[in-house]
Parts: sequence; structure tokens; C-alpha cells
Amino acid sequence: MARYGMVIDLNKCVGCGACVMACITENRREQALKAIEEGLQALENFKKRTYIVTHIFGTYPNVGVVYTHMICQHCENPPCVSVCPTGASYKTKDGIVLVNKEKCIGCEYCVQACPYGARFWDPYIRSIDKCTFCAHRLAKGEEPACVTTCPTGARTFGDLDDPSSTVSKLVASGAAVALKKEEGTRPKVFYIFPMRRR
Amino acid sequence: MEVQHAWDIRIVLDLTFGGMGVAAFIIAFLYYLRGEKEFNVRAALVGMVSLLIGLLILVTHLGKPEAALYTLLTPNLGSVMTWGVFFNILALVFGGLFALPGLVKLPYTGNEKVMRLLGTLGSVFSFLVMAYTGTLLARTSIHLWRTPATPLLFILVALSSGVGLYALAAVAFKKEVPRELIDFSMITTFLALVTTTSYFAIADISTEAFRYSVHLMLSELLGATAALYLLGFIAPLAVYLYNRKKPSRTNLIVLAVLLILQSLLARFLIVYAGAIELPW
Repeated sequence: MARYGMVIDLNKCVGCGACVMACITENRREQALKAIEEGLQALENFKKRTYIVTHIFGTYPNVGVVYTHMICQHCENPPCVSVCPTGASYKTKDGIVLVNKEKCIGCEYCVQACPYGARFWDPYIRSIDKCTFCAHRLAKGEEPACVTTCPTGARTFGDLDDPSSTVSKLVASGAAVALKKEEGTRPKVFYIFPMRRR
Repeated sequence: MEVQHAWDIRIVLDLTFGGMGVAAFIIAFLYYLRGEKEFNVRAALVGMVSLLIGLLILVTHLGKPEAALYTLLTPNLGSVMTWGVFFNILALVFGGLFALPGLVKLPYTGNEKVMRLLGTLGSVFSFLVMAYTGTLLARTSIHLWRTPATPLLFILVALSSGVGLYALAAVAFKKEVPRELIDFSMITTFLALVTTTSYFAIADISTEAFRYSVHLMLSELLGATAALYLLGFIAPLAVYLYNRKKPSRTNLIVLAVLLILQSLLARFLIVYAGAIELPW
């Protein structure tokens, strides 16, 4: 069994948002079309499985910009799974955290339990939704849509248990780090933070 | 920093009505054991109705209530919410069976052994429901909630409001409210005051998210914080002291309403001040 993980290199991210659009096209196309039909308010409230936050820092002329990426961390120890009352949230053998939409009752306990804010209630499918690492694509031997779309190769995906995989090497090198380690969730998404530039 | 929006006033009302109902039930059963049967079975019924109202409000919050059956079909026994579902159901079943003779005559109405057994089981599960209301919040990623103070505070305010509901039932059925019960509600009120204040006292040495929540309590939610301290804590203590000098039915009703308000305001404040620090 694989132990899938992702490394996001924030040095390479240019903030184009292609990953966000690829994710919507791949996973939330119908919902997006409905939101477009409903109008501006629905579009403003439209939730995404992954999004980018722009951080501008410094004082002119020494300013910089960093784009951080929100995505489900597919934790080894996912608090969203342990709090779910119906077992709708579960972890696959490959370590991917998924939601069984039929069993989801919409209590939003998992939303409150996730320290990364990666989950949301989707009124269109009447279930909690989140990143699935494009599990349907993985089953076909393809990589997640966001990974294949990124023009700069900022997102790398692979098997963390395979020492020869790029993600495994990046994590082993210590360059890629997990966020909110103190929560004890053991995330499988790692970030390479920007080097300080003059 | 992001303020939680997933849980709203319906969760506050569910926890308030639920906590108040089960606390009133326990009080009613304890006084039932001390001798006054007829009224206390009715007071227990009032408690169960309150619990039921809370659960009905909770159902309106669920995004897909028709799937709620899965909590029984495929329960995740490690989830606090699952425990809550079972505790609520069992409290309703045993507590309801104990209290129903207050409404209709049932075959076991005169059987003291059966009534005591039902009341005991109802009280045990009622206490678990009371403890669950705060533990539910404590088992999240919201730092303000994720402290042992939350379950403790929610038990204390549940007990205060339970006394309030019991007192209102007593007034409605023209019965005396035991003096020691009112004294007890002042102890719970004082302890709830101390527990609530501890959130502010430890803010400086806590996490960023916790500090932000406390900041919210002192800025955007200042009205609710002030209302909790004035109406929820200080006013009941003042009315209690006044009632000791000049006891009256009106004082008792005002005190009961204030005790219920204490629970509502405390839960409102804690739920709405919940914030999470996102790493993005």
C-alpha cells in the first residue's frame, strides 16, 4: 500500500491559481456551474477544496510576496475522522482521508475538529466536502489535477513510503516541513517555505 | 485567525435546553426520592420536554437530518457526538418513562421499585448528557473550547438553569421551592463566575487563537460578556440576597429566569467567541 503525500514548494508558486481552477474543474464543476447560475452571492460563498492566500510583507522598497496553499493535510491521525459520529469521514488504506457523502449528516463536527480549516459544508451535494487527493484519478494511475496543472511544478505528489519518490526525498531532506505539528495530527502535506531574498 | 461559523444559535439553544432539561430532571428525581412524588414526576416531565426541545432544535441545524440514523446504524464509538446521541436517547427513554406518569396513567405508575429504577437510570444518563454538552466543544481544534474549563462551565450553568426550570415548574404548580436548592444555585453561579473569569485570567499565557477569542469577548462580543456578568452572575446573586430579606414569588420567578439566562448567555459567548488560527 502507498502512503500518499504532497509537497508544496512555496518558492515555486507564482500565485496563478491554476491549481484552484483545476480542482474546481475536476471535482466541483457541477457545483460551480450552479453557483454561476445563482449569481454573485453564491459565487462569493462558493467554497474551494484548495485555495491560495497571498501574503505581502516588508516595507517599500524591500517588499515580498508569498502564496500559501490551503488543502486537506490528509493527516495520519485525522481529528475529523475521530469526531465523525457516523463514520462518514474515514481514512483509506493509502492514507487518504475521504467523506462518505451518503453517511454525512451535516453536523459539521469535523469542520470544528480540523485544525487546518480544510473542510466545509457543500449545500449542493448536501455533504461535507474536502480535497480527496483526486482519489478517482489515482485509481487510474494519474496524479491529482492540481499537481498536473501547476505550471511551475510547485506541487509534487507521491508515495511517502517509497524512498526513491521525489516527495519522500524532499521530506527526508528536511526542506519540506509539516504545519501545526503541535496538534499531533501528523499531516502528509509538507511545505517548502520561501528562502529570504534581498 | 478565523471565527468559527459552522455552529450557530441553534447549537447554543440545543445545549441550553438540553443541559437545563437534564439538570431539572436530576433535581426532580432527587426530590422525588425525598418524598414529594406527584409534583416531582411532573417537574421531571418538564425537564424531559426541555431536553426534547433542545434535540428538535439540533435536528434543524443538521445539513442532512434524514441521514441521522447512521449515528445508530454505523456509529463511530470514539466520537463524543456519538456518545451524546446515545446519552440523549437513553436519558429520554428512561427519563421519559419515569416522567410520563405525570401526564398519563401507566401500568407501573404505582410501582415504586420500577419508578426508582427508571429515575436512577434517567438521572445517570441525564448527568452524562450534561457533561457531554461541554465535552463536545472541548474535543475540537478551537483553543477557547479545548480546555477542561468548558465541560466544567457547561455542567455548572446547566445546574443553575436546571434549578431555574425546576423553580418555574414549582411556581406553576403552586409548590414551595426548597431553600437549599436556591442556595445550591448560588454556589453553581459563583463557581460558573469563577470558571468564566478563568478564561480571561489565562488568556495572556495561552495560544494566539485563545487570546483572539478572549479579545472577541471583550470587543465584538462585549455586550454578551457584560450581559453574562450582569444578568447571569451578579443579578442572580443580588436577587438571591434580596429574596432572603424579603421573600416573594416574584423574586423567585425573576431569579429562575436569570439562572436560565446565565446558561444561555454563557453558552452563547463561548460558542460565538470560538476562533481558529489557520496556518495559511
